[in-house]
Amino acid sequence: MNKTKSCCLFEDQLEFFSPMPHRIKGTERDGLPESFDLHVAPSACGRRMAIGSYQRNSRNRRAHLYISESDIVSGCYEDLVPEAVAQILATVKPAPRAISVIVTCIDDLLGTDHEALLMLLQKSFPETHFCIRRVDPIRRHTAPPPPVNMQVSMFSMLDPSTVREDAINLIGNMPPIVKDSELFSLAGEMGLQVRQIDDCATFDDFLAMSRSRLNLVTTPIGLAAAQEMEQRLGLPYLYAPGTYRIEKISAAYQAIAERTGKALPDLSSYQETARREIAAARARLGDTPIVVDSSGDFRPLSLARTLLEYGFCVRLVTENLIFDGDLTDYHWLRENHPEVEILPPNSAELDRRSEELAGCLCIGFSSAYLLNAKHLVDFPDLFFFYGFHAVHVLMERMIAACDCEADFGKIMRESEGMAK
Amino acid sequence: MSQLCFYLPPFSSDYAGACSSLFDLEGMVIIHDGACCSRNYVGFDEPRWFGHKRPIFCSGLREVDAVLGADDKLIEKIQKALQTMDRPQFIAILGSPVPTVIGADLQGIAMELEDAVGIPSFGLSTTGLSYYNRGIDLTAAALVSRFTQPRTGGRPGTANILGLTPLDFSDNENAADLRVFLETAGWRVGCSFMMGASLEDIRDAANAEVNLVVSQSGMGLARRMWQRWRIPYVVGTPAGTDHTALAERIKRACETGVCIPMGEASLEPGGVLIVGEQVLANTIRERLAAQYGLHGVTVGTFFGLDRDLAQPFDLDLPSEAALVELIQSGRYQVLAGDPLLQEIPGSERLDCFSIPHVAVSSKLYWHDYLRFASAEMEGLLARIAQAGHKCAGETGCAV
Repeated sequence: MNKTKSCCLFEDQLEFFSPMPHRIKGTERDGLPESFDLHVAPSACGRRMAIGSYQRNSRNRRAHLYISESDIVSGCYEDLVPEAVAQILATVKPAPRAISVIVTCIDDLLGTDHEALLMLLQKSFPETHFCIRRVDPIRRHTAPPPPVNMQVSMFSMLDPSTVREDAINLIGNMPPIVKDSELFSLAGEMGLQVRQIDDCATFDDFLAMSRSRLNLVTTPIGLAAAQEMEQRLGLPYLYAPGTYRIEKISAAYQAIAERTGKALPDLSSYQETARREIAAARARLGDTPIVVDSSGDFRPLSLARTLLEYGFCVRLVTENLIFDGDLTDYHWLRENHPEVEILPPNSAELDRRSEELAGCLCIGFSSAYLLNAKHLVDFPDLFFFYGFHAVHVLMERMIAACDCEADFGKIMRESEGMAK
Repeated sequence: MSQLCFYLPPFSSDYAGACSSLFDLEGMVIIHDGACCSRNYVGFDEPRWFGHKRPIFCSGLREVDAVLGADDKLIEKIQKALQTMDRPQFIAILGSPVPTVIGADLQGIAMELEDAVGIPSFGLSTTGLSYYNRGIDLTAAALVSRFTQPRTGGRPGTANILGLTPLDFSDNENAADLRVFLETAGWRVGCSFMMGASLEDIRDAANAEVNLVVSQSGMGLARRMWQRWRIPYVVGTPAGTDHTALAERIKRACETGVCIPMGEASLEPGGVLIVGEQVLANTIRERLAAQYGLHGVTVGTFFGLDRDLAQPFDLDLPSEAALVELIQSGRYQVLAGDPLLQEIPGSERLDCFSIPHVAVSSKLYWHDYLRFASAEMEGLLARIAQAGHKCAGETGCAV
């Protein structure tokens, strides 16, 4: 089965969006180093990305090329892109090494020839790398969704290399994996350097990723990019998405060691600590009903299954778009815990369940807000948690959430304004 | 390249203006889009979204449905949602860029929906290619055309507010201050288009004695109500602590039956540039002239200069590039407007004064918003005046 495929659990319905806090604490850059984003769309489309870039202090690496009604009618707005690129290269100092041209939903309908545009840009500006990124949620349930496309297009800028270095790339985690994860220390013990986009200080550091020995795919959204890189660059990948299951985490490290020809360090202390932390959280939460929201984890069905296996009382999961690799978790839930309800995220139904589930502990802000959940496990971090460290963080936060009531207003207030 | 924008974010769109206009009403609103447009609105153009669960939905438009023109699918989704919610007083379907490209007939879909569910429904041809003030105008026109009853003799002493929107006024005390201003001046507030209004208020709106237009987005409705019911309008909003002139104009408009789009202050181009919403900018300029003797102030706006509200030297800013050129031209020494204007190179050489505008800077400042009718605003006016006089003294430009 092709693991990049995705499917929807529910029929289309009207969607209700919770207010979502936007994480703004402390990053100086998002995206590739020494790169620039050119957003080509009607003015309305880029608003949230632009405001987000102000909040993250990264507005100097973005420009907007507004498409007008007449551009749409004439159907040749891509003709404006080379001129815009020329102006960017003349205006932005130092000139960006790479430019991502971001297009939106209307592009899917206008039939823009992206390949031809890319070739034209590369020919006209040979010193600059280009990629085209589609942010087109009208295709999110039928084609690879936008975050998957974003990974594919970013890594399409890597060139083939005959050199192989003792390094692994982290693919698919949009925020970087936090350095507290044992992944880094274990890799160090194995003599492996860990490369991820957010740690690249220069565009050359990014290009060096093509010289790594292995792509470690940490979320389903990185899988298509890894498959593309395997085909085009001969760079093998290991699909080991974030999980809270001790045996799966251990198996991922075992696989990394095998695939890179390294000896696996002893994991027993990590495993033992994780078991202790899970038991402590289980004891503290007791029968507290738990809701696992898709805004709280990349793989909420997998998380729900794991929590149930650990003895937690999961009542509800929200998820709609799932990748084939995660279908087994869905079927396991249906067969073993049919009492656990699965609802689509952004469903107005959640609001009507608020009385019934108000005392719950919700992992993820979106559903917690709609349910007015008493306890919230939030992830305000601009980091991704991985490995045994992820288990530690989740259990610690579940216990902490039990000890206090969710303050949604405080979280929203902290997400507004400019980055401090 | 006029369509290229480096320093300022995209501004609030027409669908955001429409949604915010419908927020307080007991209607159901559907933005016909894939997801981004709805997320733009709820996350970046609606300061009231947190804490208020309003029935404003994303249609979840898919490419295949757009290509096939599967309008029936949208109607089915709405019907299904209606089964799980209180019956709304109306249903509004809003357009976005994709329906625009495929030429979706939103009004036709709304008519079909209305036939199916028996709830008044209308489509709004918002496109995501225009700004919020157009969306507010479209919405007000649709609501009045659909719901407002013919004038029945009028209600003396009643004033409507037109153009009140959180995209200009945020959700602090500004809306309440407007009511207080009118009530203190002896008026009863009729319909407050479009914050704090009910459908009942809209039904009765034609009976007002006068309309107070507090932002440019209310001008279209003001003109229509003047043409149709001869309700005179006055344009302006209380700014600072002295609102006497505005109160007098409202009174005079009622007495004479004449519309008063601007004050009478003598104005001329000078070294002070105010960039923002045209009515607030005009009001600030009038107060600067009347109270502080500063007459050399130019108003510029990105949102379509309304010539009826403009001085001959005022500026229609078609793009960011036009403002960059102005700021770097050396013609201005003082700049007042949204704080993000200060991102533009060259602005650091000017005396800059921040007047946050939700339609520009979104959530960056919407909860640190100026209370327009306040001593704080009066202090800001005094500081702008001081800077204006200083630059006039130094450069010889008009005071």
